[in-house]
Amino acid sequence: MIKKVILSALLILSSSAFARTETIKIYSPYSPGHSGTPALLKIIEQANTDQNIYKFVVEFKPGGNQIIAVKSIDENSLAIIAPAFVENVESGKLNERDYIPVYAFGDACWAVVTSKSLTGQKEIVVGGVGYGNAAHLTALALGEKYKFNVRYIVFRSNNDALVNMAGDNGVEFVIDKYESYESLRTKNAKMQMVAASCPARLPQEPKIKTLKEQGINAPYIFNIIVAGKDMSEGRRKAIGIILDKATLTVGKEEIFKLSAQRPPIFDGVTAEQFYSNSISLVRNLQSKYRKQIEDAKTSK
Amino acid sequence: MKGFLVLAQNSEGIDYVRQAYALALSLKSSQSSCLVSLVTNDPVPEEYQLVFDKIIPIPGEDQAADSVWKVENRWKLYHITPYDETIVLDSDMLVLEDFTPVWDQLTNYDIFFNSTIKDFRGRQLKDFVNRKMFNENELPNVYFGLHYFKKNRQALDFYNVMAFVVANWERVYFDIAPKSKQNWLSMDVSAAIAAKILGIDDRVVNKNINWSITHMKANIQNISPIPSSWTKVLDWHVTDLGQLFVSNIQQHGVFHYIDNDFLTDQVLCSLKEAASGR
Repeated sequence: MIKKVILSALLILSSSAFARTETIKIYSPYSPGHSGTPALLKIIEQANTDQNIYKFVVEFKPGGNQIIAVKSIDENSLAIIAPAFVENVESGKLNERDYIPVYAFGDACWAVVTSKSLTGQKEIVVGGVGYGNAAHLTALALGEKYKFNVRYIVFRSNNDALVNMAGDNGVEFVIDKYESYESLRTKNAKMQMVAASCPARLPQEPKIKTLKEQGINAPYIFNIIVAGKDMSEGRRKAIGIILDKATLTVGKEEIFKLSAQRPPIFDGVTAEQFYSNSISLVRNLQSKYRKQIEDAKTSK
Repeated sequence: MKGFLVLAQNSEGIDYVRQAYALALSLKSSQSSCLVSLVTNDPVPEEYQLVFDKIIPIPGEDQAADSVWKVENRWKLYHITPYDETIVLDSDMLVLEDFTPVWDQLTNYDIFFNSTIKDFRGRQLKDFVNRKMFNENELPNVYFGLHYFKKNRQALDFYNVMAFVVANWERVYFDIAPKSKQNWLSMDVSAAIAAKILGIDDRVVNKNINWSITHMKANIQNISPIPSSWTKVLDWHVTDLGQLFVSNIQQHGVFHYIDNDFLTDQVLCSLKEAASGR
């Protein structure tokens, strides 16, 4: 009777037994060199290791103020949205009801850097990468608090703006990765970090308060993965669980090290809550500073 | 090749291998032809081994080692079935009718679950008591304890999702079936959610396929007051022809007895007699 017992190959469920079900593309509105990419790729790699239901693939579709990536969504794909999403909704280029949050990748914990005291100034020159984005709105909020006008100049990257500031070539305020600031701070003795841009203090500068601690209701540089309404609820929620789980496995320290991102799941905030909070904050600030944003566009 | 598959993992109180043996005996006496395989890591007495086509060890790590209900390994069944088409049965069942017509109907499906139950009087039931979670979360009313699958891509996809749901059941239940949330791992709920994740919830059930289970949960038998087990208040016996009577009502189809007290030595002896008569 022993011969009836199957002992061999069935004992081990080899990886070949688990063919993967389907590929889910995640369209990124950024270029591969974007600061958030390394952490995103690490989480995706972990998610692909953890399970055999979906194979996640990141595809970069920059351009069109992030519209190209978002408009690419179909029932088998997702896209990353950032504060520019709100601007595109407000202008009618995207319909908010077409997109449903699946996973909150998080907000960038960056350094708010100035080469000028924020008090007693008539005007401060701010460098950033897009009109009405989180950095621009933050500068406007600080301007309102400290009573200075914002002159906003758009660069290809935050780092380009920071290099300009380091060379004392006109820019006086930038929000960028702490590492970028650290590498350039010796070139311009006036450059100093005055706040952390997300709700937690930067581990590199724990004494420097967050914007929120300084009474500034500024938006975070959020990145949220959304699905289109064609993706079924079951699949959408399963993907959210898989990505959340992968995020916890990778761990906040590793994610922070890679991209200075701070996924809200570590604070127990769901993608829906994060989406709702972030969108409404950006929407309110964009509405509040509408005139300044439009003025910045026309005076470029 | 078609066959029946049953997984049995003994717990401290219940000899599930013995139950699987009784099930196999009932299949031998009720089916015109059948192959039955047992999936277990527990010792199988020589007498029991005779009725099984194959005895297959549970592959990989025993995920049910610390559990009471021993359901955590059931998602592995797809990967170890020796058959091209498989009907999976819970060990605490008896099959009392020939499944040949059912097999013919099932060939149209990749994976199929029983979705209807009846009481011991043969009355179709809508189980609003134990199935509240399914209704409120719009889950397909699947009974994992009696299901069918083919060896193909669609069934593999389903079982891959099942593995994920079982491994992450607390979070998955919370997110996908939050109403009347169940706080224990259930293969029925997990299978229903897996179907929902795959978007195949309307393709895995069909109440017109007639293999409904006589489900002997005490609270759906219309017995008042509700006993802790039906075996406390109803009589039963099995004839040497393998016919089962409960309160003198002959049972048909699949009998899900649930309470291990049902499987007396006398019942087992009659099932052996019936199987040997074939």
